Formats: sequence, C-alpha cells, structure tokens
Amino acid sequence: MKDTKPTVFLVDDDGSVRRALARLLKSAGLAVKAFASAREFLEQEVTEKTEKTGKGQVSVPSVAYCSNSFPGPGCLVLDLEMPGQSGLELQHDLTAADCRLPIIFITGHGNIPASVQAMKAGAVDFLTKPIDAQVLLDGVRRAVARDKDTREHFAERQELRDRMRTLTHREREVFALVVTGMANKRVAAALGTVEKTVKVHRGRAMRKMGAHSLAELVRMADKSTDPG
Amino acid sequence: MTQPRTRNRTSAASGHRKEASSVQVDASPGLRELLERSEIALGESEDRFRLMADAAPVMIWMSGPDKLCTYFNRNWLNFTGRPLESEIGEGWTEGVHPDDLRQCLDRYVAAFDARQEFQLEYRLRRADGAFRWVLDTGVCRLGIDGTFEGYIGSCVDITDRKRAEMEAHDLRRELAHVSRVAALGELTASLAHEINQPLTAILSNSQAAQRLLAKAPPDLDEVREILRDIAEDDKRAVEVIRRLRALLKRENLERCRLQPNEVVEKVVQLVTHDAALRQVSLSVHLDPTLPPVIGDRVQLQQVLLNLMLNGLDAVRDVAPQDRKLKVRARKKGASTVEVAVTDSGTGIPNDAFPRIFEPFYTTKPDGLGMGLSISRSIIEAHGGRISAGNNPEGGATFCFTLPVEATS
Repeated sequence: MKDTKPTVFLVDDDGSVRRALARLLKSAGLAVKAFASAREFLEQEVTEKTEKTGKGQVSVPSVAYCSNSFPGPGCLVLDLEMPGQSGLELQHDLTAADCRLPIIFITGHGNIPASVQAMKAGAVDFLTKPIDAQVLLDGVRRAVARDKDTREHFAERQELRDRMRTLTHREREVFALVVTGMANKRVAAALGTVEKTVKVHRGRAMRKMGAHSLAELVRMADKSTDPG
Repeated sequence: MTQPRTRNRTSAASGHRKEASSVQVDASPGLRELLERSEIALGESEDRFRLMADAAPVMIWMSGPDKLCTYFNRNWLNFTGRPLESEIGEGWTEGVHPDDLRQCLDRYVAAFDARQEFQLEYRLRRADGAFRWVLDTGVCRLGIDGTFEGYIGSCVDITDRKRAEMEAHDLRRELAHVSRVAALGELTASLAHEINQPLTAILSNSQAAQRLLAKAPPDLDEVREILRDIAEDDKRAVEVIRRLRALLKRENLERCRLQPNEVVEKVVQLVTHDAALRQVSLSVHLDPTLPPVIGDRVQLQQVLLNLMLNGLDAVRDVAPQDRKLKVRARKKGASTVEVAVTDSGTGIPNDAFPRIFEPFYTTKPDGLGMGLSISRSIIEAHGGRISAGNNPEGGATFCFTLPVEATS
C-alpha cells in the first residue's frame, strides 16, 4: 500500500480565511478539501445510509471515511462559529454517525465553555484565530497520526473478524472456550465431545486465524471484540 | 361706598377687591342698587370662600394685581408655622428653598404678566424646618366685570411623589447605563470577531507565502495571488474600524441654528433632579446676549450632560455643603461661545491629564472611559475645542467652545 497524502477537510464560512488556510495546508504537502458550511461538507463527503429504527425512516449520516471510500488518513479543521450548523453541532452529528475523523477546532473567540465541550467530545485541538502556521500544522500532524492509528486498529480488527468468519460453527465454539484458558479435556466435556476432536478443531481454528500460539489467539480474541 | 358685612376679613384682601369695584361708581341708581346687592352677596360668598378655604385639605393663597400675596389659608399657615403677617406680600418667599427661588419667582412673574395659568414645583420650608416639594397651581382671578384681580392658587405637598419620581429617574439612568455597557460589550465582541477574521487570513496567507518562496522553484503566481488577498483583507479590517468610528459619532450631524442658553437650560433641567438628590447645589450663569451657534442639538446636549454628570460624580466625596456644580455660558472673543462646567470636587489627578480624552481611559471604578472621548469627537466635529483643568480653589473645570454662526 503506497503512502497517500493526508487529506484535511476544512470547514470555515469565511471565504478569505478558508482560502488562506487551504494555501497554508497545501504548502505543507497536505491535500485540502474546503467547504463553506457544515451542510456543504455533509452533502459532499458524507454518504447517507438509511437505518430503519422502529417506525422507519431515520437517515444516519455516515462520512465517506466510515464507508471506506475515503481511505485516509486525514482530519477535519472546523470553524466553531458558523451560520447554520455550528462546529459543535457537526461534531455531535459525526460522533453520532460513528465517524472518527479527528477534529481540530478553530475559533475567533477564546470561548472556554465551547472549548471544554469540544475537547470532551474528543477534539484533538482547539486553536484561536489568528493561528500560527506551526501550531496549526503540528495540530494537523497529530490529528493525522491519530487517524492513522485508528484506521490501522480498525483494519486489524476487520481482518480478524474476516478470518473469524471462515471458521465453522464448531471451530468457533472451540475457539471461544479455548481462549478463556479452559483445558482441552474440559472443552470436550463442555461441548459433549472427545478431547481428540477438540484438538483437531483447535488446530484448524489457529491455522485459519494465523495464530502461532495459544497466547496469540487470546490476543486476537481480545482485539476482535475491542470496541475502540 | 359701604364695606360689606364680613367677618375675619383681611385688610389686604378687601383692599384689592375694593379697588376692583371702585371702577363702577358712575353707574345709574338702579344699577348701583343692584351692584350693592351683589356686593353684599359677594361679601357673603367671600365669607363662605374663606370657610371653605380653611377647611380644604390643600394650601390656598391669593395675590393682588400687584403680584403681592394678600391671603393664605389656615393650611398654609399651619404648614409653614408662620403667622399671616409674615407670609403676606413677599414674605412667603422666605420659605422657598434658595435654589428654587429664582426659577419659582421668574415663572410666577412671567405667568402673571401674561395672565396665564401656571404650575410650579418648588421646595417650601415646613414648620419643622424640613423642605418639602410642593406643586403650586395658580389661576387668574377676574372680577364680575372681567377686571383682573390677581391670582388664586393652591399647593399640595408632592414630596413623596417626587421622591418616587426621582427613584424611578435614577433607576432609568442606571438601566440606561447598564444597557449601554451591555450593548458596547456585545459590539466589542462582534467587532473583535470581524477584525480577527481578516487578521487570521493575513497571517495564514503570509506564512503560506513564506513557505512557497522557500521552495525551488517558488510558485510566484500563487504568491502574487496571496499578496492580492492580503491587501484585500487589510482593507476589510480597515472598513470594520471605519464602521466602529461611524457608530460612535453619527456620520450626519443634524445642524441647525441653536441658542447656547437653550441647550444649557435643557440639560440643567435634566440634571436638576440628580443634583437635588445628591445634595449638590447647582448654579447656572447665562448671558442673554449670546449669539446663536450652528450644531446638532442632541449631540451638544449629550456633551454637556456628560460633563455635568461627571461633575456630579466628582463632588460625591466632598461634604454635602461643599458640593457645588456651576455651569456658565459666555462669549469668548468675537467668534466663540464657551460653555464651562465647574465642580468643587477632588480635581483631576495629574497623571490622568494627558489621557483624559482618550477612549477607554477612565478614573471611575465603574466608568467606561467613553464619555469624554465621544464628547471630544462631537465638539471637534462642530469646529470647537474641549479642554479640562483644575481650579486654583479646588475641583475641576471642563469647557468647550463652539464657533458662533457666521454672519454672512
């Protein structure tokens, strides 16, 4: 996999500020996609997937990133105060849609309550305009690194889940009990079979999962169920 | 001519009535009889009047055509605690508060000469020595033939109402100040944001340009665009500042011909309540021959109001008997009118002098520091000057000049 340019999604309603920040980010070798409002960002970058909840309808926005069409890494540089949907509201919506694109807030006011709220909700940084180039680029670098980590973690988990899907029903049952530290004999008793059969299923499961030791298999089990 | 049968008649009261009826001496015998009968009726009605007047819950007075008072009812005498002999003529004026006397007499005389009904508010000393606000209403008395016989009036004690009014006035002033502070706070926040945006763009653009120029080869087209954007954003910031200035001083002055004395009198009226409430003795010195000036009435009133309210603040910490505020309007040279506000306060600290007219500079704990700076821009927009100084006898004087209307 070749190393792709990180992408910064920039949302600021002030055209002049948007253009200047985009130039600065581009000059640092970043790809930039700029939007004048939260709505514009959502419309162009977020694919709507409809979820039926109870009596139907509710459409949950899901950023392209979540649906894997944006390969990353990247981050969102988001103006706090904008007409229409504010930065904080967009953050809330993205979190609700399980979009983990890291967010750097930028604001004209040194608004402490808003910054606390934003950081609590997981923002990477909260920068006050005018923003020094170095401070912004450092923030973006940190955000992109976090995004990369998250993605790798996600990819690993996805890989494990994919491998797990290749297990047969019985192999999965054996796998689930073995990783709790149960001895083969007791697993056999629990599943109503003999130790020899358990050994066979366990060997197949380990091969399919690509684990070389029981310890490794336990780690995989942990990772695949890790929500983070 | 017979004296009608009356009881308790005061000589002064009968005096003027006699004078009025003496015009009728040449009337025919039949008419004379009729008149005499009506005289008697009049005498009886006057007795009835006196009974009623003494029983009335208000203070009642009468004056003759010579403006001198001829009668006060029992209520008045009880109120002032003085005998009738002390009150009649001009005696009653001894009970009027010295600060209110001039205004009171001026308006009484003016209404009298114009034969108009009048209403006056002034402070009158009660028997216990306390000054009470009274509302005095006077109307013309005409004889049966329409001859002017003087005035009759009634007074009610309005101190409680007045106090409530002053409290309301104070509250209004406080509210006005609070809302002004709030409005200015909001204004500042929004202007700060509006100036911050172009500054943000300028900083990021120039830092982007530095990075572009460090590359080989530099993208000069992009740098050129950046420089153009920087110039645009600079203009944008300047425009915000221009709007701020326009907000602080109205762009279009409503210029008209003004009598400086009228401007001063109007503001003095506004401040009188406050001055009385804060026990500040207020004196006004006007020159009736002042030439008119050209200016915006409201703005000039604002300036003077600001100076006078500052003066009231300045004397806050001196003893009540020493709290004095003087406003004087006079000619200064052939082409200038000067209005000066002198207080007996603590004066201006020496280190404050150079900055006193600067925006956001204040010596008051709750001051905004806008009053004098706005005053200066208003006076300068009128082609005048504003200055401040300490008086040798203590306190400070603020004065501004205005050019007189050009005589072309």
